[in-house]
Amino acid sequence: MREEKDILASEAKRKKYSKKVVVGLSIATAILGISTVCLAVAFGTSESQRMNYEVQLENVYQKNMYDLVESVNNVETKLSKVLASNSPTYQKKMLSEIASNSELAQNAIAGLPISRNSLSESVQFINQLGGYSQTLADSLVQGKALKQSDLDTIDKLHKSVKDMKKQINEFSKKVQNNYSILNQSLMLDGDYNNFTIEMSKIKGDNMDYPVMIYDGPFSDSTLDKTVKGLSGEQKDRYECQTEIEKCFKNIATIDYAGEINSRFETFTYNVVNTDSQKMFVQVSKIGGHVLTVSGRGSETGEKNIDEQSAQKIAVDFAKENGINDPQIVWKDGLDNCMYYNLAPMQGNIVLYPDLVKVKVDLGSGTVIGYDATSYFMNHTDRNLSTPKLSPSAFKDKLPSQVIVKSMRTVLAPIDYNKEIICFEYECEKNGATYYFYLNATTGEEENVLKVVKTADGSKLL
Amino acid sequence: MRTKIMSFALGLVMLASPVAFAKTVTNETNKIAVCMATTVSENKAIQQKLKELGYYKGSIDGVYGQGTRSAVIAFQKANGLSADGIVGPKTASALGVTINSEEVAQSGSDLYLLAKCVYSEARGEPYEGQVAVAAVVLNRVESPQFPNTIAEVIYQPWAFTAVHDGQINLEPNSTAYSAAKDAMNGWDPTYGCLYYYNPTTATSEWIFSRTTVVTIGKHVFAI
Repeated sequence: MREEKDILASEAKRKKYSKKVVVGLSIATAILGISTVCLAVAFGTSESQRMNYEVQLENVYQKNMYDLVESVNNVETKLSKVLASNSPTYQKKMLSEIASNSELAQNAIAGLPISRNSLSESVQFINQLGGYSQTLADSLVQGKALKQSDLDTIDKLHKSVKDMKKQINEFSKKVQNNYSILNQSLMLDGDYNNFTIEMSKIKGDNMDYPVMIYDGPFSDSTLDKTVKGLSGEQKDRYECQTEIEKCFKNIATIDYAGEINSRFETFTYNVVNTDSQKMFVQVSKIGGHVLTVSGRGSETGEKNIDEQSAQKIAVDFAKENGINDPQIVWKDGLDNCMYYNLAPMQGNIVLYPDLVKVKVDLGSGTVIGYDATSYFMNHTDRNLSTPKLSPSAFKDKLPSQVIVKSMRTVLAPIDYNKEIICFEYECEKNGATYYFYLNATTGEEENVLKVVKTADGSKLL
Repeated sequence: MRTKIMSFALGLVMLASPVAFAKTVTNETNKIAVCMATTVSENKAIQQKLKELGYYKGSIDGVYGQGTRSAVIAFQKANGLSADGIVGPKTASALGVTINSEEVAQSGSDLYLLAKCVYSEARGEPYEGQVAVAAVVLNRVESPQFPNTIAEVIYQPWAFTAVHDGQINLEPNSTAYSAAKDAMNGWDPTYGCLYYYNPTTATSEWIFSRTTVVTIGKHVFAI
C-alpha cells in the first residue's frame, strides 16, 4: 500500500513537474515569439526611420542644388542686362541683385557635401563677383557712372558665368534624373567623393576667372594687405626673449617653443607666470615686439582686483609696449577676465585702425593676454591735419530724436582701405546706444553703429 | 548686407588685422566689438539682487561673466522664465531691477557655436591651440574661398570631423568658451591659417601639401 502510495505520489509529482515544464516552455516560446516580433518591428521602424532621415537629407541637398542652378542662371541674365542697359539706376538695381544672387549661390554650395573644400576657386569667384557688383552698385548710388574698364570686366565676368551656367545646368539635368547626391557623396574616390568630382566641372575646362580690381568685400587688395607697422632691427631668439622679460615682471619660467613664418614672422615661447598661469607668447623677429600673448587666466572665479584696477593695468601695459596715450575704446568681460580695446592718440585724434587688445585676469591681477597685430599691421606716422571745425559744429546734422552723450575726433577705417577723420557721437535713442560717424570735413554721415545686447556681452553692429 | 556698413567696425571691433575686418563685414551677427552686457551699473544691480536672493556668490563687479550668467539662468528657471541667461524686460522686472532699454536681447549664439566647435575639435589641446582652432574658423569666414558665416563654415558638410560625427553637440567647457572669445576678439596665434590637421591621424595626401605655418600641440596649422 505504502509502495502504491509512493508510486502514486511520485507519479503526481512527475505530472506536476512535466506540467510545469510544459508551462515553462510555452512561456519561453511566447516570450521568444514576442521578442522576435518586437525586434522585427523595431528593426522595421528604425529602418524606415533611417530611410526617412536619408530622404530628408537628400531633400536638403536637392534644394541647395536647385538654389545654386537658379542663382547662377540669374547672375548670368543680370550681368548681360547690365551690359545692355544704358540707365545707371537700372544698372545699380541689377548689380545689387547680382550681389544677393551670388550670396545665395555661395550659401547653396556651402550646404552641399563637397570634400576638401575643392570648389574653393569657384566659391572665391562667386564671392568676389558679389563683392565687386555691390561695390559698383554703391559707386552708382554716389552718382558715378560705370567706367569702360568696369564694363570690360563685366563682359569677361559674363563669359565666365555663362560657362559656369552651361556646366551647372548640364549636371543639374543629370541630378534631376534619379541621381542621389547623398549616395554619391558617400562613394569615395581617394580624397574626394563622387559628387565632388562631378561638381568640380562647374569651373569649366579651360577657364581662368577674370581678375576683379576693387576695394570691397573679398577683394584681393583687402586680402593682400602688407604689414606696415613693424620697424627695427632683425633680432635673434635670445634678444626676443629679453623683450618678454621686459614686458612681464612676473615670469617664473620661459621656454623657447619655435618660430612662425607667416604674415608676421615671430619667435614663440611658453611662459609661466608666478601664479602658475601659462601663456603662449609670440615676438616679432623685426624689432622684437611682443605681438600676441594667449593665456587662459584663472578658472577659480576668485577675483582679487576690481574693474578699476584692471583698467589701469591694461592702460599701463599698453603704454609700456609703446602705445601712445592709450584710450580705452571698448571693454568686455568673460568669466574672470576683462578684455580692453585700446587705441593710441595722435594729437587729439583717436586712431581706431591701430587698436591693441589687453586681457586682464581679475584673479591674479595680471595681464594674461595681449594682441597688437592690428597695431603693427596699420600703424605708421600719418600726416593728419586737425579738423578746422570741432565736433559740436555738426551736432545739428544728427537726427533730432537722439541725445548726444559724448563726442570726439577719430580716425576711422571706412570702406576697406580708406581712413577718414570723423567726429564720433555717442548717442542714445529709446534706451539704445548708437555711435554716429560724421565726416569731419563735409559733415556727411559715414557710418552708424549700434550697441546690441547679447547673452555674452554686447556687440557693436 | 555684407558690404560696406561694417567697414568701420574694424576700428572698434577687436580684430586682429585688416583682413579680419572682412569677417565682420561678411557676417553682421559675428560683429564683435563687445562691451558689457547691459551697463556696468546695471550689471552691478543685477548681481546685487541675485546675491541677496542667494543665486550669485561672486563679487559685485559689474562684469557679466559666466558666474553671473549661471546665476541669472538659475533665477530664471526658479521663476518660470525662459532660461536664456539674458536679463531682458521680464527677467529684469522679476528681479526688480530697471534696465534702461526697450531693446530685444539676442542670444550669443555665434560665440556658443564657436565654443562648441573648439571643444569638440580640440578639447585636449593646450589653450593657445584651442584659440588657434577658433581663429581658423574665423579666418575661413573672412576668406572668399570659404562660406561667409560662422554657422556655414562650421556646418559645411565634410569640413570638420567633430561636426561630421556629432561631437559638436557636446556642451563646451569654460576653457573652450574663453578660447572662442579670444579668437572673436581678434587673437590669432596662427596669423591667418585656413587649415589644421593632426599629422598622426590625417589620412589625406592633399592636406600634407598645404604650407605649414606652425605646430601647436598635436595640430599642424597651414595655409
